[in-house]
Amino acid sequence: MQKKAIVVCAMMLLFSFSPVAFAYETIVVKNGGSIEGVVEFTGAVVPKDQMVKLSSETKYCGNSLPAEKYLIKNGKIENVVVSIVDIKSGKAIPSEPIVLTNLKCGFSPHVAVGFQGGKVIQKNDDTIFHNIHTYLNGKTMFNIGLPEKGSSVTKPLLRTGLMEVTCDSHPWMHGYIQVLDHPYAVVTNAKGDFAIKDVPAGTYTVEAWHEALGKVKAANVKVESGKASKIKLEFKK
Amino acid sequence: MKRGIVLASLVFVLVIMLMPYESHAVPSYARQVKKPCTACHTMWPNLNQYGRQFKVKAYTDVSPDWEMITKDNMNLATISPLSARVLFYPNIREDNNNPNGPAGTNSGSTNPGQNSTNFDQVAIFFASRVFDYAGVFTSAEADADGTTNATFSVPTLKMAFQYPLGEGNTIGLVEFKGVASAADPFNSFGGRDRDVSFQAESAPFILSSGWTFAMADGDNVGTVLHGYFIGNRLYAAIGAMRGGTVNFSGPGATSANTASQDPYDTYLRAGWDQKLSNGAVTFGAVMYDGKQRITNSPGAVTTYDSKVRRGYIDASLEQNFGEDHLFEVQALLGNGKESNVFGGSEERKFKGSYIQGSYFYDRKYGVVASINKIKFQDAQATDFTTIGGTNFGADKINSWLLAVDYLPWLNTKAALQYVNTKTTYVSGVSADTTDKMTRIVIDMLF
Repeated sequence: MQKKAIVVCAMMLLFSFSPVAFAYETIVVKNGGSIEGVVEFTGAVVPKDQMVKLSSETKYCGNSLPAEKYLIKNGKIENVVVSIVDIKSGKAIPSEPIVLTNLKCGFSPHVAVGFQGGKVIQKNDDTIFHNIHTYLNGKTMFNIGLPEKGSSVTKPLLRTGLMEVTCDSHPWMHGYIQVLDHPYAVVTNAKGDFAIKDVPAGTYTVEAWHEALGKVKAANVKVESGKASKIKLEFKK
Repeated sequence: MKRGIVLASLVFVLVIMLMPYESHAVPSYARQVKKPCTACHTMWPNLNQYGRQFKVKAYTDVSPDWEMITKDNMNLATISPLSARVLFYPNIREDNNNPNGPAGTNSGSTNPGQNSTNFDQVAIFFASRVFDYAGVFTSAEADADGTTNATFSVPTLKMAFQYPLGEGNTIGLVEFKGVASAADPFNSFGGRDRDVSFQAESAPFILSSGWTFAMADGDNVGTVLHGYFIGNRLYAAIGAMRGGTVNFSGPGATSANTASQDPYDTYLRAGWDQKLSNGAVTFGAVMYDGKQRITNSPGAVTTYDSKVRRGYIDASLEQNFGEDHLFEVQALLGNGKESNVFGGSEERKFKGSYIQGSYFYDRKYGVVASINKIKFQDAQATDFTTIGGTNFGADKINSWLLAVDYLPWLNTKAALQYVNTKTTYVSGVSADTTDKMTRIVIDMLF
């Protein structure tokens, strides 16, 4: 009886560290379609990015840095995560880890997409000390120092949600990783463009998330095999 | 009662003085480097790889915005170098049957259900960079001694210097008063740091034991030349030390040896500090060799030098896997030999081991366990020095500790600890004893 209890406890401990089983199913997508488009700001007053005055490390980082919060140029919005909501099956989730680099006193990329079951590598390419403090859905996930150029830490992405990455040594540093349980998510480029490829035919809801502007959705986006569905997502405020 | 009020008032004043503007409290080094505890520590007091380098760099690696007040030819830091610690055992349950310890103390009597409403230790740490190439660390402690008195001591006093030799290489010099491992950055050999966390019950016996000398005695003074080399991987140290006295006690003993007349001893230390994915592994070796001056010995020869030698190998591993599962283990193997122990060419030896493992989730919830062993060789019932504290006449001591920790903040710990210590005595001294202690620990750093 005691032996059985020990085995059960050991198995529970083992499975608590193993990747979490999730609902998304990988299938072969033949002649998939795509969802392409642009994310725009169409409100009356366009928010402008300010310069952030640095509170420390000015010798290395300078006195100020651009906030990289809105990134709206000619009405187009960069760094928006565009994703299909609640897609249950499709192409395989990428196995390459997401790499977030501490570079020139900021995070590069500022916004990224990660996938449940994958990994994130946080590395330091600066010659100064960075202390990565990562939150998942508002709760501390881990807090680790990267003391020198070349330091890195690799962590598993076990849960979905919004990861906010900060640096305890440099309070102006913010980065974001949206962790999803499927691979149909991308980040808009400087022109606000996006393209989600290899989508199985069907009708979907598409969501755009921006760190400051919030979320907007486009419902009933129809995807046909071998064809591109063009949509426009708009933030008004 | 009066002592408790005084100590409580002192703590209150210190908290008000040292409370930072932000809502979270951090000790003085964290304030100076503007980094959180996790920059240097895995779980305090254990150091991570950067923390070990910070120590060898003489605590000088502060924030680039570090400012000094230089007006009127002053050289004054703008950040307070003070930190404080409060240690409190609100509930202790002991079951001791050691008849040889001093009466009135925990180990000296069967004492079931001893509770304490007073602070057990209040410590002030002065820790700061002094200038680019030097730093200082000192601690002053007021410890409750189980009666109505508090003993005051300065167990650690260090002045450290450092000079960078290029990327990943540092050479330094430490002048200290404290334990022999005062300059050592590795967790596996840092006896004093472990004492600070778990008190004497967890100090490795192979560091705290001896007939005329103890490595972990706070009366060592000395100089250590050390450094990190080969990209902060190889640690090497050479030192000259004296002191580390052991009180003579037992039947007929009257006094301790005198540190100021003690000849200097040699200390050699080498270690390798290898970064791993999500952690580090260290391993190394220590050798201590010298003489201990004994004066006013109660034996036939009152003044003489004993010859002492200690050898240790150590290793540690730290890994942070998954989201935030921190696992650490430290191990220390050692042996000691002393000759001319009582002035008549007597020889005594010991060997033993210490291993401690811990697991912390989210740096909030943790379990710590350790096994602590020592075997004395050639000990006689007629020996009149102490071995390992009050275990006079011990032949073998085996101890284990288990603790469950909760840290609502990284600088505040509540723990439930259990320690079981079995002592086997040399024939004719005493029957075997087993001491059991359960206690609640409240430990706060400001």
